[in-house]
Amino acid sequence: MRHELRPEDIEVFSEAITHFFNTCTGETANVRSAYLIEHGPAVLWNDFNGLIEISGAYTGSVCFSAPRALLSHVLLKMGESVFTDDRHADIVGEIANTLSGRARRHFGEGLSIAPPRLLNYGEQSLPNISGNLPYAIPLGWHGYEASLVVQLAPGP
Amino acid sequence: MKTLLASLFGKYRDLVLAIGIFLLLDAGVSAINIYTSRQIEADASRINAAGLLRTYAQQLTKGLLTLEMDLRNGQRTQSSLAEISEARLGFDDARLALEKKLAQPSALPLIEPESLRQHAQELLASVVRTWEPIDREVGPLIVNADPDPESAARAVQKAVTRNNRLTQQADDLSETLTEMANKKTSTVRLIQAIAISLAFLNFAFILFKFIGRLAASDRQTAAAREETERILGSVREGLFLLTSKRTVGGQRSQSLDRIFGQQLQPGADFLAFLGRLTSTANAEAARDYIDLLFNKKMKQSLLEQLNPLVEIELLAEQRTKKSPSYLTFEFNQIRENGQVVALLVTVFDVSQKVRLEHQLAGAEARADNEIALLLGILDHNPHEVADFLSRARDTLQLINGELQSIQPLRQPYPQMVNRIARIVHGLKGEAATLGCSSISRAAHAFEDILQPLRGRNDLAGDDLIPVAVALSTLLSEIVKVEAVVKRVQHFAGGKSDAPPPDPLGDSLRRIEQYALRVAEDLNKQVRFEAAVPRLDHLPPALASVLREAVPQLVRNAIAHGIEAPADRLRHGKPATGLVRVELTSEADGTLTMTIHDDGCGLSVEQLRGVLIERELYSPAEVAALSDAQVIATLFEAGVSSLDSAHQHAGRGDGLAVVKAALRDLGGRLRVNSRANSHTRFIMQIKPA
Amino acid sequence: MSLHNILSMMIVDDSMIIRNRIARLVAGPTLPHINIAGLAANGEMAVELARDSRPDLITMDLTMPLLDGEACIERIIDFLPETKILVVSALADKATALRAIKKGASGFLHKPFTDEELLDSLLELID
Repeated sequence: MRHELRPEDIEVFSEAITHFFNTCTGETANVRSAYLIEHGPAVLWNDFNGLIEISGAYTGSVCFSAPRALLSHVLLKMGESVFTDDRHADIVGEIANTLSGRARRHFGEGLSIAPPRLLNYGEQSLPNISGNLPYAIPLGWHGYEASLVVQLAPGP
Repeated sequence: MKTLLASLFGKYRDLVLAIGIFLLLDAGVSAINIYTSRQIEADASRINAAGLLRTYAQQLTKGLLTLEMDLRNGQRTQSSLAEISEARLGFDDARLALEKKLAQPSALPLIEPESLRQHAQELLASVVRTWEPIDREVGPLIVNADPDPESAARAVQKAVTRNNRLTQQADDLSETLTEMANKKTSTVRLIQAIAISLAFLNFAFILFKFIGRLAASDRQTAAAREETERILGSVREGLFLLTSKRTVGGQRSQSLDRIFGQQLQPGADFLAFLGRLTSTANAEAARDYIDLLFNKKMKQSLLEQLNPLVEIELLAEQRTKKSPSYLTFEFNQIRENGQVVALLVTVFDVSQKVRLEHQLAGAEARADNEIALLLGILDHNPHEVADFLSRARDTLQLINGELQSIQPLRQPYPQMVNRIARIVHGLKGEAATLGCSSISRAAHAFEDILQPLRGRNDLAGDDLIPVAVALSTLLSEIVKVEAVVKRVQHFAGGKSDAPPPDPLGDSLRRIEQYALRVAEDLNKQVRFEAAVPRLDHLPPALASVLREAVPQLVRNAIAHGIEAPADRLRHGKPATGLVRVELTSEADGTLTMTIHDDGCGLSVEQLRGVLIERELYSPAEVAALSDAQVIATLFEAGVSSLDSAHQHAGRGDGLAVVKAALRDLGGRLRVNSRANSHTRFIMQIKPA
Repeated sequence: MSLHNILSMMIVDDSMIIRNRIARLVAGPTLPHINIAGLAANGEMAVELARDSRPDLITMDLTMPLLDGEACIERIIDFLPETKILVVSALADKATALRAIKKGASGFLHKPFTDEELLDSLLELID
């Protein structure tokens, strides 16, 4: 089995997220340079956080974190006219779902992926895994900034 | 029907036309035959009529003579009169019939020339002219039951005098008619002969053409079969047809048996074969997929995404050593009238590709586990190693901070990549000096990631994801080594807390080890000399130079300066090269550190070539540079005089690192060199 | 496909936004007139709704609470064998798609999808 995470294992997620914005809103999202989140567990700093937890050949999590205004704009682009919390949560869940589908295709069947769940602002931090530091991939879209936090290590 | 017509007038047009002509010629010959037989009949009756004229003329003359004799003898005249009357009527009938026949103009003037007919008509007319005076005498004679001898004598006289002429004329006519008939017959024969030979020619043409075409088509079929066999014999992929009964077709590429490592016979049950070849899950997925492929309603676009037989692993007991272990199958529907009648199956051996991927992953895993990589640090002072590790960590955190805070603009990305490349190269050198080979290897891999990004002006954020991953790998390597060092310190029971008594000597010994290792890696022989004063403590500036600049310069000296032993011997030098480090201090506290090697020296010409070859400068720009300026480019980022990157040299950043380090310390760097003699780098550091 | 001319369609997805988006696209001018027979947020609801409204077309998510899409397809095809089901899912692996098709689905569309991709997939289904 592979032990080290390869660049393409991280790129998969940034591709999935830009693909989502391209296909669902028709507008390109710009990925900025990725970096490592160094101090302590990754704190989530946005209004809505959709998390998928991964176990199997790799363990860890992938979290899409976005401010409310960005999601409202996405909803608008997708033709929604209702902007309740529910709808915002719905779209974050859908994005997380997309990430999980892409992850399964990339890493193969040996991966088990829990259904996406939402984390509330300020209440929780990402579950930490020992060893590797989480990657943050900032994402610019329409002047808003969202982030993808990828924390993966080869499974036990 | 339409297709039949199309083929009639298409490919077989010549043939159909030729057969048509043949039939036409045949019909013509038959028509001529019928016409000829009719003509012969008509000619015979004409000749016959002409003969009758002669016969009746004779009969009449004879009748008249008999009558005259009867009258003279006073015998009864009835029978002679009847004979005369019969002859006269017969003559008239024959005459009329002939006249009628000759009056008709010829239907085919070619066969019966008009001139001949007119000639016959004239002959008949002269017969009639000779006949008419006799007829006039005979006419009144026969209406009388009791003719007077005078009139009979007149008639006899007329008949006798004209008889010869009449006979002659009738013979002429008869001859002419016979001649006509003969002529006609020979003409018709000729025409017949021509028509029959034409028909024969036509038949020969048909035969020739048809057989020729058959032969050509046979040749084509044979050629096509040969070609197919050649293709099937030489393609590397396995090719065969899968019938709707899921059995293997007859035509298959020769490579198939090699790819499967066993025979797949024509007519074999493919699904059962697949079940023996690979896992049950794969075989079941394949069965479902093949069912879908034979379902004519399934959309092609959907099917393309669903193929489960991609890079499937073959069961271990099915493989021999040489046979493939991973296969990819491709299926193409073959449709006829909308129905899927068969599948063209292409089998690819992808073992090599999968094996390489596995090997790569395996190599990474091995590297991860090689404790030997960590053992190198035990030769070094744990304090120095710990110091390096913590500095390396700080440096990488700085890089990470840059990645995090940089604005996504075109300009800063390339600048940042260059900056990172310099830092990582510096780390690589230090790590190697301290025996941290796992770290220097990770740094080298990091440089491999950075290399293609350098010089690109269109960098975007997602291009830098590999940089973050390499950063993470390097960082985790440092963390790992740190943990080992901590345990080593713990093992030593904290005794290593005492500071080293000879810090400069320690550093130089470390550098010497490093130099010898570099030389060994490059298959060179090197002697390391140091001429330095003994110092109780290292000034910070000197410590920094020893840590960063000196290892770089020593490495350069060995990689670029010192030649391979054989080359050295050829140039009349000892096989072992010399690298010498000198340190002098002046009264004002200025330190001068010299790194000297007795290698090949700097070649300005070679450097010019490198600058052009790497497209760092245009040929015109290089020509305009002075020798000193060319040497100065050595200190620019990205220039190295070696062709390819290996762990010890060649990225072209070593001197840039040295220069940057010295600049930070307020020092100067000079170079002095002679071809085939030496290169000397001189660093001057003013006191702080 | 059906005795009446106007097609009816059911949308099954646990995301309301996706349900709304599909419904809006179906109502657009590209497709022939299609009645939205119902929207379902989970598999059990979908089976009930399908029994009542007997739709000609269904778009079906796979990961849903209560009853997942695969089981749902199997149950619906059992009593509506002529109904065409388009799977719309983020599960992008072949085994999943093949299983869904084998159980009776007629098409597969990966999430996320563009407007055109959905319309094309539906048009292909109606053909």
